[in-house]
Amino acid sequence: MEEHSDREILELFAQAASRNRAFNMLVVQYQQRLYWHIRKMVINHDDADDLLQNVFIKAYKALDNFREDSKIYTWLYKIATNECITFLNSKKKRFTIPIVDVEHQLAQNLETDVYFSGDRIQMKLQQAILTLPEKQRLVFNLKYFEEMKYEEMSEILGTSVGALKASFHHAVKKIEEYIKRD
Amino acid sequence: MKTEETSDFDFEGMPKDNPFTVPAGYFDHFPKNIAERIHKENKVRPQTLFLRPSSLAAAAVFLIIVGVLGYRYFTGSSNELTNEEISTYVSQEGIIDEVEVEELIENPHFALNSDTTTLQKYDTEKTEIQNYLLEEGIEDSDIINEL
Repeated sequence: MEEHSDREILELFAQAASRNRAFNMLVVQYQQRLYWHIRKMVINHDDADDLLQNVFIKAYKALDNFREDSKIYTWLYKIATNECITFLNSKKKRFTIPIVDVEHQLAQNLETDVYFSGDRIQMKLQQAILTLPEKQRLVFNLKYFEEMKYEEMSEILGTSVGALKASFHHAVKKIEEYIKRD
Repeated sequence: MKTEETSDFDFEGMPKDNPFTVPAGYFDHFPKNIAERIHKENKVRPQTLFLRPSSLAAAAVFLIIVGVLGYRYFTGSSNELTNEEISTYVSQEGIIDEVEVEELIENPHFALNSDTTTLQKYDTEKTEIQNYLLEEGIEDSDIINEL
C-alpha cells in the first residue's frame, strides 16, 4: 500500500476537486491501525466499526482546521482514543453497573465472539488485559501490540513519558499476577 | 518475548499476534461505506421541526383546545340553568323547601355564596334572634305593632 505524506493529503483535501480522493487516501492509509486500536479497547467488532466511522466523520469535519502541530496519525489516534473512552463510559452509565463489570462483561463476550480466533493463551492474555483500568489498558495495548514510542503515546494520551512508563510497569505486573493466579 | 520494562516478567510464550478478526472484505468496503455516510451527512437535511415529539405534543394540545372550544361554540352548550330547572332539581332532591328555593332564585348573590359556612352563619343568626325575643318576652303582636 502506497503511503501518502500528511502534506500531500492536506493539500489535496484543501481543493474541492480532489477533496474526496484525499479523504479516501487518508481512510485507506489509517483505517486498519485505528480499527485494531479501537477493537482492542471495545472488543466487539460492531462497536469498533461504529466508533471507527465516528472517528473518520469527525476527522472529515475537522480536517480543514487541522494545524500541522502534530502528525495526522497522532491526531487520529487521539480522536479514536477519546471515542473509545466516551463509549466505555456511556456503556457504564447506561447499565448502571460498577465499573469493573463492563470489563468483566467484555471478557465474557470474548469467549463467544465469532471474530476472535486466538488460542487459549491469547484468550487468557486478553482477559488479563481486560482486568486493567482503562488508561493502563490503553498504554499496554499501544506499547505491547503496536510498539508505539512513549513520546508518541504521550502526545496522544496527554500524559508524561514517566507516568506512561510507570503505567505500563503496573499493567505488566497485574497481567503477570492474573496469569500466575489462574 | 521481553520488553525493556518487563525484565522481571517472562513474556516468553505470550503471543503478540492479533487474535481478533474482521468479517471478510471489511477493510475493502470500509472506505466506500464511510464515503457514503459523509455524502449523506453533507446533504441538506429537511426541516423536521414538526416531527419532533415536543412539536407533535404541542400541536395535539392545540387541536384539542380548539376542538373543545369549537364544539361548545357551535352546540351552544352553557353552564347557565333556567330558574325552573333549578327549582325542579332542588325540590326533587328534597334539599330545601320551596320557599327557600324561591328565595335562592330571587337572590342569586346568596346562591353564589351558598357554601356551608354561609348557611351555618345564617342559621345561627336566626336562632339568636328567636332566643332574644323569647328571653325578652316580646310577643308576635308587639312586633307586628312595631311594623
